[in-house]
Amino acid sequence: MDVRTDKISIDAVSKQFIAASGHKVEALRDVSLSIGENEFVCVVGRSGCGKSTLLNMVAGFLKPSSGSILVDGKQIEGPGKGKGVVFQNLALFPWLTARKNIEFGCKQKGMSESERNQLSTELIDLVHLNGFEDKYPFELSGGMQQRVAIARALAIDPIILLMDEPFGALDEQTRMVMQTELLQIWSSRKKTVVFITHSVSESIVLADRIIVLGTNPGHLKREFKVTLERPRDRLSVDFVKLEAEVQDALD
Amino acid sequence: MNDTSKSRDYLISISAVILFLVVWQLAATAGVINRNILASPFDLAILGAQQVVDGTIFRHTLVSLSRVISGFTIGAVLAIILGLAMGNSERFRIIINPIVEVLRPIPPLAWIPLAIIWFGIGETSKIFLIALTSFFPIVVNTFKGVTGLDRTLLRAARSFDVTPRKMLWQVALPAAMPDISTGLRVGWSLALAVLVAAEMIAAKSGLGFLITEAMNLGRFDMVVFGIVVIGIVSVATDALLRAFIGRYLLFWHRGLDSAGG
Repeated sequence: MDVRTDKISIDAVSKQFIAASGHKVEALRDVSLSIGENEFVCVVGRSGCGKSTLLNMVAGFLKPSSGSILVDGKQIEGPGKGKGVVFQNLALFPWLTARKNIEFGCKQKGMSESERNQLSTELIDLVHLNGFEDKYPFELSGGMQQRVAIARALAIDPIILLMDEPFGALDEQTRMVMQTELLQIWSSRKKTVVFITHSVSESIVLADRIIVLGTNPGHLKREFKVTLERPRDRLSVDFVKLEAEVQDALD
Repeated sequence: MNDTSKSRDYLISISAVILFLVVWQLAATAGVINRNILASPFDLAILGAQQVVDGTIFRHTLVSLSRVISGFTIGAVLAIILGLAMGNSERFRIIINPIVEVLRPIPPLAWIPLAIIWFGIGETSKIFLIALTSFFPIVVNTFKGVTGLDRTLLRAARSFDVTPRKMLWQVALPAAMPDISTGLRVGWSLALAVLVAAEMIAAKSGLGFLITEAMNLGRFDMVVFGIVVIGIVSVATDALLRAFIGRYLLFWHRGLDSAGG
């Protein structure tokens, strides 16, 4: 990548919850992280390491208990404002067709119908949904629903793209196809991406940088820069070696 | 479920109904059932044929249906508006919910005296009673649907800067549609159930009137016939309502039957 300025800066962020039992649960402790413009960052960690909490704070759904998160140098004040999110369970609007789902964000911005139509047609091409644009989510396979969710987030031309284990529910085959497609999309429309996953190999296929979070409480454990040439060969010596290292950091 | 097992189930259901009628008829013929108290299916068929030929039963059914449709429509519209408002505003909910909860369990029949005093013995009191009956299940289900909005769906909407107003119309309302549909179906069946009582208020036509008048004349075969017609009308209109819901409200839903019933 070329010159990097900080797109997202996470500074000494901690987060505590009050659990249903009334106990205080510490989800994240003192996490600091800078993410550069157009950087693709994967956050990996075991369940309970607070990786989704971290993403939800960057998305503006949750407020940090202490510390600050800046996007483009400005404090996050809530969700929206160009922060695109792809959810683990997709959260497509089931009463809207694929196309209407993709257009949802632009409609909120007040974009005209013809502009919206042109944009969604473009995105449908980009995520290979041609022929399925007028189907409802329940008529689409998991992989296709995932494409709709990605296209919907891209439609608002987001300043950052936040993805919370988006491929977690897909079978291995579809997952690999989606990883390849996501990289193609990312290289055609440069975005700063924060991608949560629990799959080490997925993080190595995708990321410029891998952040490993530890548990109890969630904290930043290690970082790995991935310098392998894309597309990355899962069977190459370097890939396998890095995979072992990241896995080691996780355990 | 595949088509073969569906049609097989259908066949079994039809056979059960026929078996029920045959047993009933045999019991009547054998004298186990007193035919003056409970008419046999055969007697009812003859009575039904007469009523169909002279058109009486259609007239009564249409009058009843138009009352139920008027009352149900008024009740449903008010219930959906109120349910949305309760789901949308915490303060409004705190004010309105206790009132709804207190009024809800009151049997509709208890309202008859007030209905007569407020609206007289004409059409209005009947429609009021039916509207009131269908109102409660719909308001409760609408409210439940709006407040039960899936958290990630809410977050997804918020990530697109949805204004509160659009959130209500473009997200909360469609998301509540499965619950609203359940409410509509329950409300409709209760509205039909209360029809007979409503038409006991000095009606001159309608299925409830048919039954009440038959009772006064000691025509118990006519009473049974009226009951059977109400049953048929209930089943048929529920099927229509389900078809309407499936076509216009929940066309995006995986399985219509998961919407209740």
